[in-house]
Amino acid sequence: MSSDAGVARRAGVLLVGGGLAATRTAQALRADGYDGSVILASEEHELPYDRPPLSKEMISAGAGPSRLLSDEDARAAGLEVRLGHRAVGLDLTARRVRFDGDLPDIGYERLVVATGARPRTLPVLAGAACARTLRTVEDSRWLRARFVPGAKVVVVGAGFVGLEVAATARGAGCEVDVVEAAASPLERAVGPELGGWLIERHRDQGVRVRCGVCVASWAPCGDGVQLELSDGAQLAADVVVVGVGITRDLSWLAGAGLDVHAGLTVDACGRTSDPAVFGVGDITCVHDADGVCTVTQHWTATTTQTGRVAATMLARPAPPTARDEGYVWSDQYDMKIQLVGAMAGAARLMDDSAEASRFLAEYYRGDRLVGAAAVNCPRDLLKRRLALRSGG
Amino acid sequence: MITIKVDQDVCQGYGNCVLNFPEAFDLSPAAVVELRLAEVPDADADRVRAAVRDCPTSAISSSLGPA
Repeated sequence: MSSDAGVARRAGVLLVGGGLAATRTAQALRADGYDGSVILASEEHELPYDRPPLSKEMISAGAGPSRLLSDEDARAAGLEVRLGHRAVGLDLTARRVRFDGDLPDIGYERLVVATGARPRTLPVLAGAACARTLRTVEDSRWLRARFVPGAKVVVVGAGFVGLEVAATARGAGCEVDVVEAAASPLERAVGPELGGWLIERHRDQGVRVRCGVCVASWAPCGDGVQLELSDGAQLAADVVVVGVGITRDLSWLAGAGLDVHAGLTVDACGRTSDPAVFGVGDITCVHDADGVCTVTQHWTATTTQTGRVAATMLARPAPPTARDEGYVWSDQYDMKIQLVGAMAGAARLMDDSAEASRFLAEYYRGDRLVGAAAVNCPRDLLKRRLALRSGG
Repeated sequence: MITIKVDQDVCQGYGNCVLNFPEAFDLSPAAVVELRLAEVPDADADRVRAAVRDCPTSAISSSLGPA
């Protein structure tokens, strides 16, 4: 990094990132009584918003972004928000962050890295203008404008984002194909029992789900594309939505000398290898005392992490690290899908799980409950969550 | 004392509030949040804040202000 001349400001706490992790951490710092200066610098051009609605209500209901922080909230909490600049460099010795564009370097006493993740793209679709990933408000608006009755939508990847988009596109009257490389989609995320059941629900809705195939090549076709799949099938698409996981931009962090692994390496309280730097949210991987690395990208895991990080930064006793059971949800059609714990071990399907509107499975290792998967029965799932928290 | 309010119209039954503070929150048979306690002692501030912070639909507010 260059000379001292570039430093215009020094924040008590500088948060880099503008999503759930950065916002909740900033709010928790204020709630915990921190009264120093707080700057939140985001590469997005929008005030912080919540991502789950991007694949659903924001497309189907034409809703605006679901704000996590308004201008008024920011003013009331004394948070300075700088939008539209990406962090590109970090100097741990001088304690300052460099940004792209015309935003001068910002110094810090404590830094919170909450830059999140980016969607993975598919090299095979490079150059296809009608192909898009979904992570931001701009992506969601782009899809909303194209999900019109009769539009041919191909979703690549039958994970949560892909299947939510498929359901939303179907609801908008599109013709929908899902192309998934794995033979049994969602198996790891929701277990084979629920995975197969969910795919059947999508087929009931008229979505064509093709498993064990991938996109081999594409050719322009009008405003859309003609896709060739690995089994030789041809598929015309007006819109291709790619939902094949995420990547993390770690190069500027590793380059500065911070430990990185699957993500920015942090402990359960968000501490990195530099005492003035903390990490929170999707950018992080959490290493426990035994060095076991856990990566989560889930809403509830992030919000609970923010509370521990803020408390640790203020040298307040951190809330007890209640066992994080891992709680995930997804909404598709009229299905509220909820998962907790591990979908592994022996499955017990509850009695009425054959019904098309409801599903409940428990997972056991020996006699011990280790996880549960539910559709449209939140109270049943909550009971299992409480049981898991108290030790299974 | 801390006053808690819930908005049953926006609640989606995620249940995070019950995990954080089971003495104050519950889910009704229709899986909508219900208050078991509308006022709690100041000593429970952390649990109230956690419930507000972890609600995906911002259905919970308290006299402590934002999360």
